[in-house]
Amino acid sequence: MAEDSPKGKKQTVEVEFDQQQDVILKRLREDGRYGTTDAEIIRNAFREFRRQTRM
Amino acid sequence: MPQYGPKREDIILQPVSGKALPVYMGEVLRIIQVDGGQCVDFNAFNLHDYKEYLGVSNTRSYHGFRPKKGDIVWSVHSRNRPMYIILEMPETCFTDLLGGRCKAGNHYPEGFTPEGYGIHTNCQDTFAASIGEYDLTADDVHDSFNMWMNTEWDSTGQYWINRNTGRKGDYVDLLAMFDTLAVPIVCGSGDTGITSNYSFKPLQIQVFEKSAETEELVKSYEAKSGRGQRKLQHFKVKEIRTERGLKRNPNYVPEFVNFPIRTRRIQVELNEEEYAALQGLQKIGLAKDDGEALRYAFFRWYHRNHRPMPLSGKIRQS
Repeated sequence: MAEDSPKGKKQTVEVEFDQQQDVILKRLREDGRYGTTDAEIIRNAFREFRRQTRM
Repeated sequence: MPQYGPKREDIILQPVSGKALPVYMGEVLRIIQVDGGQCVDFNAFNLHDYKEYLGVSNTRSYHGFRPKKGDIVWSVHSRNRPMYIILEMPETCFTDLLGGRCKAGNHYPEGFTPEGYGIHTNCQDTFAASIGEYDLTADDVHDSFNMWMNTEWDSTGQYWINRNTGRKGDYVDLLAMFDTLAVPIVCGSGDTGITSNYSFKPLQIQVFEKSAETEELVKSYEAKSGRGQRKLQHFKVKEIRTERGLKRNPNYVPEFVNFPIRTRRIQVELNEEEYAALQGLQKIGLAKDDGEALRYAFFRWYHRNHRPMPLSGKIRQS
């Protein structure tokens, strides 16, 4: 999984998930590899997305 | 290749004809090229509930445009059940899920009109004539699973038909997953079109009874691929209409899945560099705001890495 984020000013982003998208998050929480909270999982997924797309 | 039961049916379909014949669970339908180069159109129905029939677009959604040996021919989306397993199919058999079926109107420009030279042979009418034996109507003919129909297509959405590559003696074996009414026919447009290389040829149709091995195969495919199927008892409306005109039922209350869709907001903290990358997604037009951009990135990652495919089909994740 991605390393801890580099230092810098934090920005809070609000993202909406519907009840079906929530199921995906729930299953990833149960999986445990990507974090234990929704915010952690989404952040780690974003870091992986950036790494895989080199952006 | 599994051992089949004894052969119980062996007929020749002369051009241009077809035959509706029961193929029961565990039985194998064999379609043989007598001379080669003949396009075969194929319809099929659940023998005990004709509203469940072969689903061309459902099959396409699992296997892409050209199902091949080892793939499943599915029933319609509403039932989503494995209907046949393609046990044998030579590489010379190009399959087609695009063309639907030919109809008399295709040949009107050539002069084959009721008022002109009479209508041309065509699959819609051949299917209708074949299924009439079971009191099904021309409206019950459905899109055809076409075998030895060499269509190609391009990214502009155009498609066309190439020379038929079927060889004499080629055959396709379809294992029935439940009791079916199978309707193989000789395609009716191949004499004036390249679909059958400008001449009609007969087809041979055989049915093999079930064996212990084919029954075992049915069970294994059912266990592997049958989970997503729907049965009549799942339907809110079960009765088949008998009147042709449609009238509104004022007492009907629809039950939409997961309706209404609800959302909740999740706050995610990003560092400066990450936030800049998120805005980059918006700059290239992939999202309208921060939240949409983050959701986009999340699901792109999820699809690429985690989304289970329903089957080992040919549908690629973009």
